[in-house]
Amino acid sequence: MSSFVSPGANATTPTYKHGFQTSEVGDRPAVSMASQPESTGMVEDDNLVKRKPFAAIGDAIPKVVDTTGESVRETFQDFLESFSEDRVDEMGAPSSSAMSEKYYISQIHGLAMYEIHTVYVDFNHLTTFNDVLALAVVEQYYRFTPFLSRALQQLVEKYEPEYYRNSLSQANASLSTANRPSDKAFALAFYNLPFRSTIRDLRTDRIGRLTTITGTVTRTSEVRPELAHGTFICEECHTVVPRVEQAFRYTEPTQCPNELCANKRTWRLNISQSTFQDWQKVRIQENSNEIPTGSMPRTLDVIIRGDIVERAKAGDKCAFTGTLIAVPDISQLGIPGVKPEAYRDSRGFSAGRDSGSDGVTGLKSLGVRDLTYKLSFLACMVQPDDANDRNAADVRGDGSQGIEAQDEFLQSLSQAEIDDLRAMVHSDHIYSRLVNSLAPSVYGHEIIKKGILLQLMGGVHKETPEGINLRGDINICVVGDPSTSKSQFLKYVCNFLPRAVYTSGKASSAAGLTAAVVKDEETGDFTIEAGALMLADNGICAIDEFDKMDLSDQVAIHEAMEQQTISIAKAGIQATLNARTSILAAANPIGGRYNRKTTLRNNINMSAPIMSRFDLFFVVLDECNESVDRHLAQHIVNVHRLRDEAMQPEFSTEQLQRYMRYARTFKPKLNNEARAEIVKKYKQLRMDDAQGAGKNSYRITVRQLESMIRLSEAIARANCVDDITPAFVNEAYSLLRQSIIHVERDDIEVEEEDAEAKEREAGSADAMQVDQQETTTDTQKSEKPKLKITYEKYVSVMNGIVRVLHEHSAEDGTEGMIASNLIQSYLELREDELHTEEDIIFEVGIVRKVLTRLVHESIIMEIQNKADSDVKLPFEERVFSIHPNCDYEALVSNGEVDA
Amino acid sequence: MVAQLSEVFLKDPQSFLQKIQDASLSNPGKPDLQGSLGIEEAVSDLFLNKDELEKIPNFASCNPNELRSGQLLRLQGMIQDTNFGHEFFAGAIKMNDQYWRGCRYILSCSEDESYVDENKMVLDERYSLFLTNIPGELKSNKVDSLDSEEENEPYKDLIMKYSNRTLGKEDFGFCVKCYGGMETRLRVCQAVDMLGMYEEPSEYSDGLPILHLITFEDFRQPSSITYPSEEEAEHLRSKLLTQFNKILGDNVASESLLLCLLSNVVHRADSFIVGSFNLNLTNCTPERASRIISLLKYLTKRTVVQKVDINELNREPLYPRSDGDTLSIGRLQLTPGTLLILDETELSSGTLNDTGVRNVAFLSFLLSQQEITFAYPFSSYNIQTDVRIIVLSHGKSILPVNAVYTSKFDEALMSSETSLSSDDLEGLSNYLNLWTRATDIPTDMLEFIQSNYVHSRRSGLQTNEKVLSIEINCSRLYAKSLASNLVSRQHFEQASSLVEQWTIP
Repeated sequence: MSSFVSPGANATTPTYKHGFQTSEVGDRPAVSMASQPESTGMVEDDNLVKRKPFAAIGDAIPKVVDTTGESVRETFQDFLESFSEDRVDEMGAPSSSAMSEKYYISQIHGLAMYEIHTVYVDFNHLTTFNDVLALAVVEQYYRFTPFLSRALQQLVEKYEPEYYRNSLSQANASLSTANRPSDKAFALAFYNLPFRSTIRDLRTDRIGRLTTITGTVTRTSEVRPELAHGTFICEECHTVVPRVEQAFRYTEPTQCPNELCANKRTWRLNISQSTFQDWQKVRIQENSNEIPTGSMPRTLDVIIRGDIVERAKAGDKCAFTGTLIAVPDISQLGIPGVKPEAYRDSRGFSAGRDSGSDGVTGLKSLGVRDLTYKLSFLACMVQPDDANDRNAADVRGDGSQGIEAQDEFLQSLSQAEIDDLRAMVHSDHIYSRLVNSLAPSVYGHEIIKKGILLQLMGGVHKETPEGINLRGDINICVVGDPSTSKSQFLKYVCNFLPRAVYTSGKASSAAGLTAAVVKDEETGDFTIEAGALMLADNGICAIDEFDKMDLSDQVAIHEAMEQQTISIAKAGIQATLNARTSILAAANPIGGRYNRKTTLRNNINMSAPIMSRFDLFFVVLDECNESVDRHLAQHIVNVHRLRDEAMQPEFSTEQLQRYMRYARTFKPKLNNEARAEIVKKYKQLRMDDAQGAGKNSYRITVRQLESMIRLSEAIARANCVDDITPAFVNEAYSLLRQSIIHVERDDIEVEEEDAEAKEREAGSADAMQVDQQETTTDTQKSEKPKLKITYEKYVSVMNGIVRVLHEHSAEDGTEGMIASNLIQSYLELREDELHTEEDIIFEVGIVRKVLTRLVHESIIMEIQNKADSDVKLPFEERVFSIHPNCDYEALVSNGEVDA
Repeated sequence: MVAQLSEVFLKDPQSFLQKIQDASLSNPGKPDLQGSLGIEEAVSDLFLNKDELEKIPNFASCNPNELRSGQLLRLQGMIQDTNFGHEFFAGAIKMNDQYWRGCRYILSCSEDESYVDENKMVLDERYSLFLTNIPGELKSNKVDSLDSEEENEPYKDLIMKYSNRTLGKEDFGFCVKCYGGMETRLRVCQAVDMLGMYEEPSEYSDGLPILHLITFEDFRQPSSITYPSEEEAEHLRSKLLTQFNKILGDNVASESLLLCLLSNVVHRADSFIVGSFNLNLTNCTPERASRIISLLKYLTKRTVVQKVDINELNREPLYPRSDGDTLSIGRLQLTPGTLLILDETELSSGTLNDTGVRNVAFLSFLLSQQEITFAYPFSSYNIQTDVRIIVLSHGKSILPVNAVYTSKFDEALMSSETSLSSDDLEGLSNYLNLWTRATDIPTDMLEFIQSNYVHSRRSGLQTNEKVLSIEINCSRLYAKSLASNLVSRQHFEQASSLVEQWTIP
């Protein structure tokens, strides 16, 4: 600061002040000075001392002039007058530069046009223009504010003299310009400061500095007129005392300027000749994601004046630029038994914006111990803060855009953190290692962890040219048997992510989830109360016991799940609120246990529209398996024994959060191959859906295509790359299949007709027993010769058969093929997969059964012997061909993928 | 030396503290007012010396009217709000242009001393907390005469401003001022034993008495604990079970209740709470419940009873909440270590209003996550806690409990004679202090539990990871009830046989 030098250090503007004004010590805040003792600005300049006009009073009191302040004013005036945006680019040709408009001069012209009184100064401009000036403004904002403001007044007067005059009250207009310290008529608002603080960061050293703080507005006062400059009339001699500066509280002149009148007390305010400005007090609270765990949110009062009132509404996240001020605690000033006169000066901060100036002299009457200050924030600028969340804990904060956001995020890290992050990004198999580090207290369930990782990563939010938002959030539903740690996943996510809300479907109504219109009992006003979905905006809303929710309540969140907004039309309030939330739901199956024999849809109490809005479904089954049980028991015991290996994943929560924040700055795009791959996979899904096997449940719609894209994007993000490759698409596809498809396509039961069952060869029966894992229960098997094969196996056999049939008909042009030949050709096709004789016998058994089923499914048909259609031929002699209704091309494309 | 030091301190705390401050500010440069300035270190050993500590008046047992500004005071209470104010004050002033003088804890300052130039003063910050009674703790039997009420009369209107922060009329409210970053070590809801300098209520403090905090101790347990030995524990255990049997008429219920009383949160593994165990005893009528409650209140000092019925749930929020301006206390803003009894016996069907739904959600969260939710406008915050919870109900509770057991209330076992001699009572309360004790599961138990689990799964018993988790937890509690440090095979089997009797929801 002391190095601050600027041309024109000799101030030319008179810094005249009325003697009876309360701000005698000059326009500097004592409190901020306390932390800046070495400032040269404190040096008194005797040459510039002005005498009061009323020489009788305070005859020889010298006026103090802040020379540094004057030079700041000049430089700032120069900045406002000469700054043009070309300077930012630093490449404009001189000619164009001369032509280009002066940025702030045009704003000043704009003031008159729109009848506003605030000039908005981009701090970046100030830094590019003169970084010493910028530094001065930041470091000693409170001290220099009057000078900056005066610079503005002079420019307004210069460029818009008429508007300037109109803006001043008539009383002042009669005074000469020089006598007008009218620094309240026009205001400066700074924005785009490089750093933001939270309420918690505000310490003594911030007093008087230009700071940007962020917080959630919890309360706004009504806008009140605040007396800016009062004109007082002495009740005794009727002398008019104009322009007594006011701030924070009502301030009367100390003494009547009339030499003969000793009045110090009785004053009348002349309202018509006083000036007022808008004033509003806003209470802000720390953003919920910025609070250290276990702490309570802090609050702070923010004072807003002039044009920027009513910009912040309750519930908004806002950034306020201004300065921290310390207002002596008023409750402490009313000391009983002390005459008011004795401490009028110390009531202090009566000196308007120079509130601190009297704080220290006030010590005299207050005594040291009483000097406590209440903190407030005097804001000159309010901006919404939704887009720019940059908190380290805010994993899902999407930041601003692309590279810029990435750099910004990296800048916020320490070198060690960056190194650690780099190591993570460049290590191998990061995707699977991340998956393994999630929810360490839950044993197994890798696929669900995968899903949750992708949900945390999220897809890319997009906006169509028409302004329609396409969600990037991934919704997941976990369905499963009781006590299979479903809730644990939900709770893990809520602990992991600061902006996640956990709620139970049983305990929340639709209103509790979305938003409710509530009548304030005191005022009778209706207000909107945020529900869980809104609270989780840009986060994850975990809804446990989703199935217990009323169906009608489930409907209420349709909108939130796809459009990511919540509309309210109730009690005269119409509003659309953002709910950009991913939903992680857990549901119990109908009847408590998941019935594997029926479809997912029949297993959960959920409407089809809701189901289609979930990108992924996971089913958790409580299956008896000795080795799984053993590991599970070991895991649980270790958790209870607090053994580290059970709880310590490869990456700590902080590492994961950091990685995710970084990964989320990527905006991956599909490359050409991936695009083709997506189309292919989608066709395949649609095909599977149309083909009989999927008849039971779930429609594959465009929503699933979008899901696939989102999942691919999320996988790319997890790998920290910008390019989506076919491999990622394949992973997304397999996840989709494993989640949705796996469930809805139960294992396929294939059976031979009774007649064939009897002539079954012994070998195939043995083979069936080998295939124990796929069979249902022992009892069923003995009753009926049923065989369960996985859906994948079924499709692969089907594809093989269809291909053989197709090739056959293409080769010799005849329709139909005898079963024995067909099986033979099929086995040749699968030659490399079959190694032993047993394999072959088993495969034959399956093929026979699949053939029967395919006939039922109308994929192939049996060509009947016309002569005696009643007589059943032995299986081997039957003739099969592709059903005319079957779309071979689509099937084959599927088959290739499967192969 | 220690005795001497504490003597000086007790005699004239102000000048003692002044000396310490001045010593730490002896450097002529601008003082750095971070940290405690050596004050806390100097007095911390006082807490070790119980005799010395006894000499300091304790707010719980003295007449508040006799307290004078500037004297030392001990105070036990719960931190209701950590954000009761943040203020700046002159932390140090330069005297005669020569040396710096610390101003912390200096409540009176003569006029001529207080003239300071801005360059001769350093600002310091302090944070205020609001302290109130520990919920559920029995009010001390001090003579709170009516005179004191009148004495406070001038500030009555002022104090009214803070009535939302205390639960009952007789509850106290204190403004505690923390210096030198001490506030970072204090958490909301924490029960603390504080030592500080008292300042009388005045108009400036809105009629609240002020305590300038010098040092503090966590106050989780009402007194210093000596755990009973294993033999004693076994004896006391059976004694306690006999008492429980008299009101529960059921051995299993008594044992289950005992395990619940000994539970505590050992560890939080992301969302998984290790150690806590909430029990739901069903088949309770209001009369039976009140007998259980009165016995438990008798045994555990910090007991809070909350009725859970439609009226009570709909009436007012049980959770602490803020309107953006001030934080109101809720009936269930509890300190860790509290025993919470939820009495559901009078629950009947009805409609919950908005408050009711929120209260149920709050209770569910408290039971399942051991966290207290603070409702703020536009957001809510969870503070981790460690409370033991028993739900008494007629049928299965509406709240998420760990285990449900239907007590038989066998008349043959019950007895109306439940009174205890004061010696017995003391022994039993002391025995219940075992709940804070740590118990470990040895490595050799791992294989046993594993094969046990696999075996019961294979034999088709209704068991799953949840049951297993409860079995392990209860085996630990069982070992604790016998004052054993390690869980043995026998403990596990005993616990398992108990778990078999329960319904795990």
